[in-house]
Amino acid sequence: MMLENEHYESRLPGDIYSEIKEICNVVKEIQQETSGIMYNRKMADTTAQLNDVLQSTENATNTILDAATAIKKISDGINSSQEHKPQIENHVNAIYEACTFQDITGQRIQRVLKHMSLLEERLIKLSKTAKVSAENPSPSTPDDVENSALTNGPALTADTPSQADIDKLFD
Amino acid sequence: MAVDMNMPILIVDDFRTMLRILEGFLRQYGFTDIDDATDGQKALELMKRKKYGLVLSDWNMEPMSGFDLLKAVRANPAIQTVPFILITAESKPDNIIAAKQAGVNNYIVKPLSAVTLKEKMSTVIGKF
Repeated sequence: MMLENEHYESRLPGDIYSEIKEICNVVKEIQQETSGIMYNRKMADTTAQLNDVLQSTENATNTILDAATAIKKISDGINSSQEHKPQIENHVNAIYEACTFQDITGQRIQRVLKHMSLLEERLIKLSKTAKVSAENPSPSTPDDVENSALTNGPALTADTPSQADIDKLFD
Repeated sequence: MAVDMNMPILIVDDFRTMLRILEGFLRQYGFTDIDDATDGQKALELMKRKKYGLVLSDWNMEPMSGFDLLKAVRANPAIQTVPFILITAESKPDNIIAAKQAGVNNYIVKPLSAVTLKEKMSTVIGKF
């Protein structure tokens, strides 16, 4: 998202102009925090993180289901007592039922992604329409800059190094 | 009349883990012929080629939702009587009313349990 650099005398009512200016200031702060990386990149990272959550939970759920299915198969195959078979089946069902969490959380995440996409579109449109210029935010302290650079959260699954990779750097 | 445990059942959901869970429950009940689809459009294509005894479908899917699939099924004379159960996170009264008006046979809200699924299926296809 490109913010207009030229100053523009807005004909918008004062309070609305102030609100839009504030939003643009926040957006510019985000740009500054990411060392001038375009706002779109920050949104893209957020989207990628959420998509990664979706994929990770799907993978984990499949692993759990595989294990539950294997337990059931073993139970069906061994000569267990009449008392134990229904108990095992009940516990396996409980695992299956709990795993439906992945569907519900997945749907919630998809809705968040959709709303974020709409928000991004609206912000871009708003900043272009209002032609509001953002002020430069207050400069961050060196500590703020360092902390910000060191606090990235979990890497995407595909980019996560193994323990062996970490050990190589550490040793 | 006893339920034919070999009757083909179609499960429809865009989350593959849900398809696995539903299939797991169905096989546990004793059903053997289970097909799946990840959206309403794919399900409709399957239904044009094979006669199913029951459809279990999610609501929110793209490009065709379970609700649109239901309406398409009920509008097609060749398949309009197929028993249809919606299994969905949509729980507002408006959803349930709309589904009933569209001809759904039963409605299960997620997260579902094996007991609830069996109970609702029994009301539609008979006890098993």
